[in-house]
Order: sequence, then C-alpha cells, then structure tokens
Amino acid sequence: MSTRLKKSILMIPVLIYTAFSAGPFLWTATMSLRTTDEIYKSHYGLPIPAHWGKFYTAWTEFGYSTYFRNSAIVAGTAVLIITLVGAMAGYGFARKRFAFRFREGLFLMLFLSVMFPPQIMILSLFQILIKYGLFNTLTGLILVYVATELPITIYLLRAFFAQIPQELEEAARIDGCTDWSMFWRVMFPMARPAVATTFILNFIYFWNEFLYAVIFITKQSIRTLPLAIQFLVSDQYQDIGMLATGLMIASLPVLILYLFLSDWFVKGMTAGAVKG
Amino acid sequence: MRWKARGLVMAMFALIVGLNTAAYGVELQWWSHWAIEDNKKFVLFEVKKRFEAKNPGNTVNLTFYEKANMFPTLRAAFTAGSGFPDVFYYEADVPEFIPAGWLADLSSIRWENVEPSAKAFWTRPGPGGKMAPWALAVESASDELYYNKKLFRQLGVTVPANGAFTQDQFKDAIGKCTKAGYAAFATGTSDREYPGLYIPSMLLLTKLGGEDVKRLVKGELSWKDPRVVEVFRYYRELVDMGAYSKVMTSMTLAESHRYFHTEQKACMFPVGSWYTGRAFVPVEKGGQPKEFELGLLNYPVMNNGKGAGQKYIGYGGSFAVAPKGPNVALATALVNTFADVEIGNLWTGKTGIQTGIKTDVPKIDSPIKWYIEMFHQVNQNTKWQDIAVQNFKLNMKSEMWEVWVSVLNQGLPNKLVSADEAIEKLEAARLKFK
Amino acid sequence: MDANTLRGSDALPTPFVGAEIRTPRPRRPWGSIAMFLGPALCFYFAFIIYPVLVTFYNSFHILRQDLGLTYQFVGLQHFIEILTSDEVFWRAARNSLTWAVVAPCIDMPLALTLAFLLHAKLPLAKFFRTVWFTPLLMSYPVVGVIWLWVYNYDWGMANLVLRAIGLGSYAEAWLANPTTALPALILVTTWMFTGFHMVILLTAIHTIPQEYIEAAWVDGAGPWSRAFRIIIPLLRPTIVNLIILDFIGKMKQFALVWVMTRGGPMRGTETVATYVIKRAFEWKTLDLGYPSAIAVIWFVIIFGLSFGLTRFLQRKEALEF
Repeated sequence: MSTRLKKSILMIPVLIYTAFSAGPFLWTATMSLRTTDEIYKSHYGLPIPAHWGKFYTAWTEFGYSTYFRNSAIVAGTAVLIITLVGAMAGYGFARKRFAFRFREGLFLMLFLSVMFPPQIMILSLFQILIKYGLFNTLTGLILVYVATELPITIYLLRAFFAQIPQELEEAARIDGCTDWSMFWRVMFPMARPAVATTFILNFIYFWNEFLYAVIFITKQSIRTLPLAIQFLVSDQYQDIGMLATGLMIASLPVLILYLFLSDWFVKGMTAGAVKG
Repeated sequence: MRWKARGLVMAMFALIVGLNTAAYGVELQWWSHWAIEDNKKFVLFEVKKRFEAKNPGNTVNLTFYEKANMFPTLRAAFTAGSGFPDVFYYEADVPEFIPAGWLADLSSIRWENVEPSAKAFWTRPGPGGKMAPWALAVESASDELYYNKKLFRQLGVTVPANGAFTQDQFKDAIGKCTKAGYAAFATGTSDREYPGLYIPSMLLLTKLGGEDVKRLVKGELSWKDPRVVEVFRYYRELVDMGAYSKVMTSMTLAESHRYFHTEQKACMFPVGSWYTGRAFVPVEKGGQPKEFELGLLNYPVMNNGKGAGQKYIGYGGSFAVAPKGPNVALATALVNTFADVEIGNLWTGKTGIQTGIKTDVPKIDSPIKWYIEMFHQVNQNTKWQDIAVQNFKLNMKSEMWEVWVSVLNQGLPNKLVSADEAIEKLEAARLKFK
Repeated sequence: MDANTLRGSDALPTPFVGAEIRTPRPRRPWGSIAMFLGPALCFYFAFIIYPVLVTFYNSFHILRQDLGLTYQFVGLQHFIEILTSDEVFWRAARNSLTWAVVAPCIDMPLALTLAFLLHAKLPLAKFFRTVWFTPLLMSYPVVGVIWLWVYNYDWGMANLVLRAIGLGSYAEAWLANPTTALPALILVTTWMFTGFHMVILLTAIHTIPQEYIEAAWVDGAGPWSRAFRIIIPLLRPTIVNLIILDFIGKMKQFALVWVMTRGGPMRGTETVATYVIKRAFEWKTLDLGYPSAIAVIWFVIIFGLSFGLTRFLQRKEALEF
C-alpha cells in the first residue's frame, strides 16, 4: 500500500475526531450571531445575516461588561501575585544555596496538596473568609486562587530554576550581587519561558474557575464570567441566542490568548507531566 | 472668637453632612424570583415605583434570580452575615429559614388589606418559638389541570359537564392521547421537585378527601391504607400507558409550558394556577400562541371517592425582610407597599393568578377577562382545601418529603418502582421519621 | 588565602589590598530563605493547611449556620451516620469512583491513538493539535451549556448525528435517563481532556531518542510492534502520571454536574463534591459539620486510592516527583 494511500486512510479518524472536538463550539459560535427566533426555526442554519450587534447588547444590557471586568480583575491580579510569589518560592526551593534540612520535606508537603480535593478546604475557607471579612469580596477570591495554584506553579518553576548552572550564579556573585538582586536581575529574566507558561496556565485557570467563585460570591455586582453564565442559564434558558453570545464573550479572551501563544502553552503543560 | 468660629465651622459641617445624607438616601437591594415572568415583574416594578415615590431619596435595586440559585446563595449570605439583600422572595421551598431567624417580623404592615388566611399561612414558630407573620404572601395558587381543547376535539375526548372525568373516563382519555402519539401530561421534572406530584396528589384528594389527605401528609394515616394503595396502582397503570412524555426528566418547568401550548405535544398539563403568569405573555417571551385553546378541568374523581369537587390551594411567592440588614424599617415599608387592594387587583388582572392580598373583583381591569371568567365558571362549586401540592413540604418532616419526592417525582413516573414498592418505601419512611 | 576561601564560601578571594573586605557569609542565608520562601509558605499555611485542619475539627461538631456558626461537639456521630446510613453518600461515591475509573480507560487509549496518528507525519499536524486542545480552555459552565444543547432530545447534535447515520432508534434523552446520564457526562470530560493528554503524549514521544525507534525498524519490527514494544513502555512514566492526574481530577468533579444535571436524574450523576455542597447549602439541617465529615472521608479515600493506584501502576518503582 502506498504511503500516500496509507496516510489518507489515517486521516479519516483524525478528521472524525476533529469534527467531534470542534463541532460543538463552532455550532455555538454560529448561534451567537443569530437571534433566538432564527435558531428555533432552524437550529443549524448559518448566521446570515450575522447579528454582530448582539455582542454589544450582551455587553451593555445583560451585564457582561461588569462580569468581564470582574473576571479581568480577579484573573489579572491573581496571576501577577502568583507569578511573583511562585517564582520566588520556586527559586528558593531549587538552588543549593538555600538548602536546609527540612526543605525537601516541605516541598513534598506542598506538592502533595495538589491532590487535595477542594471540598476539604472549601467549607472551612467559607468560614474563615467570613471571619476575616473577605467573604463576598474579589480580594478574598484572589487570595484563595493564588493559594490553590501555588503548589503546581512552584513545582514547575522549581524544575526550571534547578537546571540553571551553578557557574552562572557564581559569576554574578563576583559582581557583588545580593540574593535579592541576583534573583531579580539575573534569574527571573532568564526564567521568562517558564514564567510565561505558568502565567498563561494560571490565567486560564483563574479566568475559568467556578467552584470557589460560586460559594464565595453572592453579590451580583462582583460575579465573574463563569458564575454569570450559570445564573443566566437558569434565568434565561429560553433565550438561546443571547446565551450563546454570552458564552462567546466568556471564552474568547482565553481562546485568543491561546491561538497567539500556543507554543508556550504546550511547553508549559508538558513540562510538568512529561517524564522521560 | 475662637469658639464662635469653631461653632460655625461645625454647624456648617453638620449641615453639609446632613444635606448629603438626605440627598443620597438609601439603595435597597431586592432579590426576586420570576426572572422570565413579565406579568409578575410588572407588578413588582409598580410596587417599586410607588415606594420610591412615597420615600423620596431612596431607591430600590431589583434583581431577578431563578430560585434554585437564589436560595443557596441567600443561605450562604445569611450564614456569612453579609452579602444578603434587604427584601427577598420567599417560599415554602425553604421552611428552615424561619426558625433560623432569617426573616423579620412583619407584624407592622397593613394586614387589614390582606386575606386572613394569607397572614395565617406565614404565622409560624420562628426563632425561639416566637409566633409572628414572617412574610407577605403575594401569590396564591391552586393546583389545576389544564387541557388542550383542540387536541381533545381531534381525539374525540368529551369533557363532562362538571369538568371532572370519572376514573374510567380519565383512563380512556389518556389512552386516546397516547395512542395518537401524544403525551397525556406535559410534565417536566428536571428543575423542580414537585411537577410529578400533581396527578397522584389530585387522585389521592378525590379518593380520600381533604381531611384524610392532611392526615396522610402529617404521617397520621398509613400509606398502606387500601384506598391509598388503590390510587397508587391506578396511577401506575396510567404511567404504564405512557401518560408522561419521554423527555419528562430533562424538561424544565419553563420548557414544559412550551411543550404544552406551543409544541402542543401533550393533551393536559397539571400545574399551579400560576400557569397564567408564564403563559399570558407575548409569544416571543415564551407565552402561549393566540390560537391556543386553553381549557380547565376539575380533578378526575376516583370511584367511591370522598373528595369529589375538591381542589388544592396554597400560597406561593411571598416577600420577606432580612432582619439583620441595615435598612429594616425602609425594607418593611417596601413590603408594606404590597399590602394594598389596588396592588391585589393589579396582580390578578395582570397575571390571572389569585393573590393573598385582598382584591375588589369588579374593579379588576384585565385583558384576560375571558380566562378569569372561565376559571370562576369551572370552579364555581369547588371546595378549596387549604393545602397545596408544593406545600406538603411544610407539613411533612423533611426526610419524609425527600422520600415522597424521590418516589413520586422521579421513581414512579419513570417506572423505576412499582406501585407496591412505592407504598413500602413511603410507609417505611413514615414509621422511621415519626 | 583568606578566611572566606577556607570556609568554602562561593566568593572569590579578594585580589588586592584595600578591596572591600567581605564579611563571612553564613552557611545558610536564612534571611534570603525567609524572603523567598516566606510569602508562598504564608499562603500555603493560611489558605491550605489551616482550612484543612479546621475542616477536620468541624467534622467532629455540628456547626450551626443559624446561630452564627457556633460549635456543638458530637464526636464521631457524623462519621457513623455517613458510613452506615447515608444512601446518598454511597451513591455519590459510586458515581465519582465510576467516573474516575472509566474516564482514564477511555481517554488514554484514545489520546495514545491520536498521538500516534499525528506522529505519523500527517499534514497539518500542528493545526489538529491546536484544535484538539481547545475544549480544555473553556470553563465548565460554558462547556456545560454547550453540551446541554448537544444532548437536547429534539434538536441536539448528538441525536442529529445518530438520526443522520440511521441509528435514530438509539436517540435518547441522554441527560434524562438515569442510566445514560453519567456516561453522557463522562463523554463530555473525555471531550475536554483527551486533547490535553494527546499533546503531552505527543511531546513525550518526540523526546524518545530517534535511535531506539530506528534500531527497531532495522530489526524488522513493523509499526505495530514498534508502538507496543518500544514506544509505549518508554512512555510509561508519563502515562502513569496522566492516569493518576485524571483519576484525581474526576474524583473531585463538581462544576460540570452542577451546571448540567445538578446531580439528577434520581442522583444518577450525584458526585461526592456536589453532595457536600448540597448538604452545606441546600439541606433542611443548617449544619456545616456533616458535610465537613463527608469531605474528610472523601479526602482519605482519594489519598488512599491514589497511592494504591500509583503503586499498582508503577509496580516496584518508587514514586518520584
């Protein structure tokens, strides 16, 4: 059998899976540009005419501008904090210079918490946030988000910092670097690829997070996008067209980010899980 | 000199602060259900308008929720002590809120404009056993059985003069529906606990009569009573005939309305009389089409039944005030705005649904007068029992209610349990949770 | 040579008189350690360790929501009740466990197959990789709503496809039927995660030194035995990691169920995670202690099973991080 034919046959399952993978989302994308009436008449029609104005309506009338803003605040702030704190800790756990007796044990403990199901923390976090006045605040949510993703961030960054050769560090030290300036002037800039990948990973996670948000936020004015979607589904389930538009608003930022930076993504996600 | 200057400055300061406070006023937060029920929302916005006119400088921010999302959110907010609204929609779905002390005492509103039974409904033991009226019942609804006149005509089903089928006529009608490919009932159970409870509860009522049904609900009568067993077996026969649609468990309440009046895939629809609040809105908003011929039945009468001509009625959507909020007095005033005969008339006129507020029937001005007349005509001899299917919850122990819902909203209509198994489970629960 | 060098510090000796005299560096720079590790450890202890301890504490009490979260000690009462008379818990546990076991069984072979397909130098590999990865980028509510529409009995894509290829009789109200609801949800998570697994596996395959594969080819091994005898064994650590991550992830599953079925029909899709939240915020008893006890039990189960699974999959190899 010629290679050409072989490859064509192999393409079939690939194409089928692609249809399976992309189909539902593409369908939603077309529905986001049609009105609910049009959809009910023919669920699979093409968006002709394309009602781009629906995005504007969703933004202004259905409150998506507020929810988008809240998601941006939460994801943006959390990702900045976690990158700083995580990079510092990753560096601190990686370099020989900072080793002490319990360091590896501490790191193991930190890493094991990746396995913790959220339920073991969520009800008591509810209690704790109430006690400290952080319930129903974006601040409280940001702090929880940072804490829950720190272990995996530290793990990834530690792996990167560990492989920086000792000589580099020694060379910089000759020039009179303190630990602090060593980190900021030398190490952190070098870690740009790893930092970029954790940045993106965390951003996606924080943008899409739902469980903690649904328990800790009750005020409509500070709802994030995933929460808004859930509430709108039950209220406005009939209005499929507007819901589809809302789904697009909620997903597009991350998707666009991904399309531009897909290589960073892959590098980041594979860094942790690949064992060769 | 210094004293005078200081005094003057302080006076000016006080004046400025005072003016600012008066100018800003308070923004009350009001959470309500009925996000997609425009007729009811109309009444709420009218109340908001009247309140704001009467209390200048204060505004009301009215947000709508689906109650399945609202109640857990309210609960978390009350537990936290923050993030809860001043006024909120309240219903029998969450009876535990009252003894928890999350509703304010509303004794001070104008109860003279409210039906005594409405006040009595929400006068229950609160925190520490204190008795007070905790909420104002705006929506009163009876449990009704609507039907599609056109379908019945097509299928050759005749409704008796008194609007009630006999046991055999009912079975016969259902048979005609299902054989022609329709569902007999447009019930959807995906997002509510009670839609599957209507038919069996109606049959129990006509067989046992109101008094015995109340005893049954309270756990004083055994589920193994031969009359109850007979009803369950008959009901299971109806289920086996295909009385419910295939998509019952995935249909929401809103979709089941559509199923009945727009898609017309079912002959009958057992639902609260608040059906009209959802159906008499413009078609684009999910309302029934102009050509839809709505009919109303009385409950089918079981043989040798004691409850012929009886129907369930109860109170649904009510409003309450959060006692730990910062604006209790103003919030109470907002709820008080409902306690007005004009609002009662507006409610019934707009929605076609009964209300706990007193109404002046001749003065009701309504585009759906035909419905109100049909309703009164069918129900002219109805003996109303003050317990509604949804409100069984207030009289059953919560564990008992769980079993009741799981068996009759899910198990029996999905053919997952037989009639006798259902009886066993219910009786076991009754004895266990006494 | 000065004292610094003798002590083994990493500073070079001062080259000439008058240069800045370095103070002896301590053996461990505790100040710096505290500075770098401090913030992270603060977060960790404040928002992870402390809450876990509080949950354990709560599980031995009734935590009264109506009385401002006051405590009432009840000892092991919750645990006994959960383990002996709580049918819903066992149903939810069964559902979660089923999900956690079945999901890897479906998406790992699928991901492997897809990785091999792309590895076979098909055109547009990068495009396919990009597309297959995207389902993971959407939040659970978004995915949930999209698949609610896909599974719609009358006009959803699932039944449409079935009817189009002549299998219309199999068309179901997928989320309405207690037996098909959970499999339907498992399919959704497969849709989301297979692409992710595939990307990782593909990268792992690329790290295998070319010589191994070429040596097998020279020896006359066909593509099948190359795949099974060489590549897959070399991928084993990665595959094991992915299975465990998948297993843990499905045991925690909450969001998808919450948006699509809320645990119905008839608790057919109830997971332990959704049950805990319902018990905390949608139950007649205004108590946070009982759901805390459920969380504790589940936590122990997940840890136990994860370690057991890891041991089983890695046999004698020790768990490496």
